[in-house]
Amino acid sequence: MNVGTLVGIANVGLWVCITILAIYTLRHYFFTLNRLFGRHRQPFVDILQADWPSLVVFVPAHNESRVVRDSLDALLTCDYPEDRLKIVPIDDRSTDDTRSILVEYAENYPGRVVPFLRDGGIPGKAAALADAMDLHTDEVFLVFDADYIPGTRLLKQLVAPFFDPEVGAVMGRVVPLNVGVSLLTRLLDLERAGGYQVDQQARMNLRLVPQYGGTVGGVRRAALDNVGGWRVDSLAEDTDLTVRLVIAGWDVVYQNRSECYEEVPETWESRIRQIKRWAKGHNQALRRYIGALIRNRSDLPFWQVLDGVLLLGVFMVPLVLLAGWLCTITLFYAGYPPQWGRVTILAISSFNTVGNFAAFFQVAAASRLDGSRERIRMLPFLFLGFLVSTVSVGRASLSRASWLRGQPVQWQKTERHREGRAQPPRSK
Amino acid sequence: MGSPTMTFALLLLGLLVWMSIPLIPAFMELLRPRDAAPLDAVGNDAGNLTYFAESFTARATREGLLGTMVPPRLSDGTAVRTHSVGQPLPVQRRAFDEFIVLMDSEPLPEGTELASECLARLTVRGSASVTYRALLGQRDVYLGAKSVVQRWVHAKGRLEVADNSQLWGRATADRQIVLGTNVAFERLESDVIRVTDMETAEAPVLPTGAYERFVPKKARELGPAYWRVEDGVSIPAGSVLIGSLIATGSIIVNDGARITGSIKAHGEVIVRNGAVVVGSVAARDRVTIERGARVSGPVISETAVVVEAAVIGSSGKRTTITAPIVRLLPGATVYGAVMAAADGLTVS
Amino acid sequence: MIGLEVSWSLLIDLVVLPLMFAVAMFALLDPLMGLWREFFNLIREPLGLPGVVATQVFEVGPFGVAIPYFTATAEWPQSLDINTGWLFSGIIFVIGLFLKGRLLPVGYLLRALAILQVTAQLWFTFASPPFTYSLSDYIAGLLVCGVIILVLAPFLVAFTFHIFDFLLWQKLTMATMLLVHLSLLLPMQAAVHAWVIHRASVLAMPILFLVFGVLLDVFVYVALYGWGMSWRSGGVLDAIDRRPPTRPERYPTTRPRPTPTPQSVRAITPIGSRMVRAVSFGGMLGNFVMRRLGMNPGGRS
Repeated sequence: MNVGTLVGIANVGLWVCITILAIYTLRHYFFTLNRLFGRHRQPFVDILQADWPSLVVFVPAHNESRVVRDSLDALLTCDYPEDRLKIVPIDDRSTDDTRSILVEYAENYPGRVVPFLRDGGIPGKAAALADAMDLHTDEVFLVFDADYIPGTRLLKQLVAPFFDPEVGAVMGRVVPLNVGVSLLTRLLDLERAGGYQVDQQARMNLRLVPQYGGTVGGVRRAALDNVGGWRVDSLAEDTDLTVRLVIAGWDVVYQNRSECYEEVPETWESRIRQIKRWAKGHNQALRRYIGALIRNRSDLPFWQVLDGVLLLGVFMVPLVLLAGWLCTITLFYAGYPPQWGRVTILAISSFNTVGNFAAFFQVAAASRLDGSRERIRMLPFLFLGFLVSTVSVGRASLSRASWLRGQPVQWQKTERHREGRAQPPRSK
Repeated sequence: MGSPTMTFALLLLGLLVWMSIPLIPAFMELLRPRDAAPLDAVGNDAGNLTYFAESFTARATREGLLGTMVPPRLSDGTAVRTHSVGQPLPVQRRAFDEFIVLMDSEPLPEGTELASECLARLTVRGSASVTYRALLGQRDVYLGAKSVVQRWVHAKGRLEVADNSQLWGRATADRQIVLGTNVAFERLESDVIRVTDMETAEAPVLPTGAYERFVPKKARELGPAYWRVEDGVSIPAGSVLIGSLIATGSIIVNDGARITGSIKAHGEVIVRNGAVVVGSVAARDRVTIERGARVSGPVISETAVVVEAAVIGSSGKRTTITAPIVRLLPGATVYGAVMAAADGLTVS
Repeated sequence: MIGLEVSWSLLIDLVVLPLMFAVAMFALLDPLMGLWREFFNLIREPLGLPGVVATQVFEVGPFGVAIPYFTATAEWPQSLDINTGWLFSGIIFVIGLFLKGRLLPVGYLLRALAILQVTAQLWFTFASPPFTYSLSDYIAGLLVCGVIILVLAPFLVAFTFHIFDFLLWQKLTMATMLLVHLSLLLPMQAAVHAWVIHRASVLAMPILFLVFGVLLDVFVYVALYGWGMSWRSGGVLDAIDRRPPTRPERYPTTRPRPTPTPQSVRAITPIGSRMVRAVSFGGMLGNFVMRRLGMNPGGRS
């Protein structure tokens, strides 16, 4: 291959990368502006009184002895009618004390805490949920990870949207509890704010595709059955379910005020494992459903299809960014062809300034909407977080698990750091 | 200057220092955090309309306002003033900043403005055009015509509001709320909420077999008794739809028809005279519940809800109406809550 | 939910303020370039840079900006440079590998820099001179880019900062701070780049261009922006300030414990163990039109 061909390929590659990145950049700006100026759509937040449907709350747990008590205690103090609520912690092959803790709760709260103890079958959260749900015929299922600490009103808030028969799944907002522990937790706090307060809520406002995130959310039994239940071979059962529901015409609702505390990773190693896992699962869903989503475009609103495609591709962006850098480096060494030089440098410079800034704008806007101010000063450190995420997601996206079929699914969970009992801040 | 290397070192140092100046706030926040507490996200007041009233009751008890001797000041220094038959508020003064305790049912002078909270120990018989910042009635509360409540009102018995009043914030009662006409409101909650004492004609609920079975045409079945129609649907009078229905157009439930599940329309929903929806009603556009109709579940609209002399919820099963705009007509009866995010009004 | 509103004053802040700053910046470019030239003249000889401080005219329509730059040259890397480069890259990479725990992201940064430098090492090992870019062209390009950023920066500030409900003086301060900072940063950055490339050969040019060029300027804006966004605005966004500043505790305060089911109830309840098993422009425009019509699009809640 001569240098001219290489430069040509790099030039086209760079423009493709810049175009893709520009679309995501515009999306960031558009969503942020929508949140700042658009109508806030939250049609279910005021449903306070109702004949609440029967509800099962699943708490998948695999070696969660450090945190599961907090989660169960919080669920038990929720104000959902006791006769309509079952809490089903799922122990899947834990090797620590998780199982004995669950049995202890079952004895202390008979009929209210009903553990599902699992020793065989396909490992993984999706398979565990599928097996556990088979045993229950209730109308609504909610799922909480074992480190999540819901507020007393959260269950009702998350169930309320299901009074709209078109709603297939609901997602609440995840709020980091261990914000002040390290630089990483502070950066994750900012990222979560951007992701929920702006990204998810804007998609809700615009009737696009808010994502069911697999925890602090739930699904309607009828909708789950309609789309074929949980896919047990899925690495990201939440994204997988979201896309299938949307394709089938169900609404996925995001409830910005249904907030639940979580423990975010406190070490970079743990964060890298978490984001790699998300990337692999998301890319698996991209491979599986992008075709179906586009084929069903006549049944769905155009913008919903577009947002669905962008949502599925979101973990490919770091790979595109890395490819863009590769093209830039190639072009730099080879020298710009004179006719393209100025345009290319202008494109790179523009993207460097306006494009790179979009995420910071989103995070800052989200924090202001949350009523936070001083934490926004941490913004420049997000460069470090983005670098780690870009490299980790890029590597995960290149891994076999992202693309090949039939990969074994196993429990992969985020390391817990909690010592002693967790207590959320006192409510107002 | 010294050698080029030394000059460069100084230049580099200058550059680094200059570059670091914008980073100072970031490092200060990292090393001495001022805003690193978890988001105080889950507020108690959000899903509990009587939260303020409960807090206020606790405070009133703590401050001794319910005892035989009312203290002249609260613990935070706020002056307390009482109003009773024997010691009424001065008529010549209209506005009061003090915390007011109504000792008996002596009406406040017409046009009085209470800028602080007000505690009523017995039944309140409000005069016309009185403005309350917040009012807690230990028994029934009757607000005169053109009354204004700025933040909240709670009656531990019955709350009755005369015509042309304005209830901003929360209006709640333990037993019943009765609203006159042209009463503006935002959030109402009680066992039962009525607009005027006019009798409501409730639709009779007959056994399912008494109706003609209706199955929507060109419907996609999402599950057992769960339908989706890519169009509008009109459910014929006197028929029954067993299950739930989603329509991308409008849904009209004609006279005397019955739906055993819930309905959702991307367009408008009209539940006509004598029709019954056992589940909920949701719509992106307006929902109209006509005279004599009955809906047992929540009524949700992203635009507006209009309730004529119909019944929403039932005495054993409280429910919610929620929409940016809510209009309640005389005879409307709601068991539970009415939430009008932008504009609630009773109209004649 | 509290949000911002499209108003005439906001539109003025978004259009007029940046235009004003851009025009002022454009008008001040000549004296600023004079200052840069003075600075370069002052520092060129002590830095040991050969050549002179020349001027290139950057034309924008009928206007021209005379941008100073160094005419210093840089060598094609010799074997000593290449070997030093390998050593430097290796050390940086190894340090990056050893940085774990809290310093892991710094380790990633170092490794990324090392990999970028390795691409330069490989290129200059196998390619033959001359390199496409001369040092003087590079410096001139860097400064032209800087001048473009200076003129366009007010628009970025307007779009990302003025759009919030900050007070006018805060908006003016933010834009001024950025422009002043960049005006001083850019010539220092250029001088440092010139010296490094002159001394270390064009081997250092790729990493300086890719990482320490425009990206550095963006980083500076992010830092200033993060600071500015933490100011009290006095507007609606301050009204939702939910927390007083507090030093965080790990898991503060207490929460009620659930009440266990009474023994009498437990006795009659079977314990299952296994079974137990627009902006949308449409949106903006819509809100604006509704407000003009006297309606309240956001609601009062």
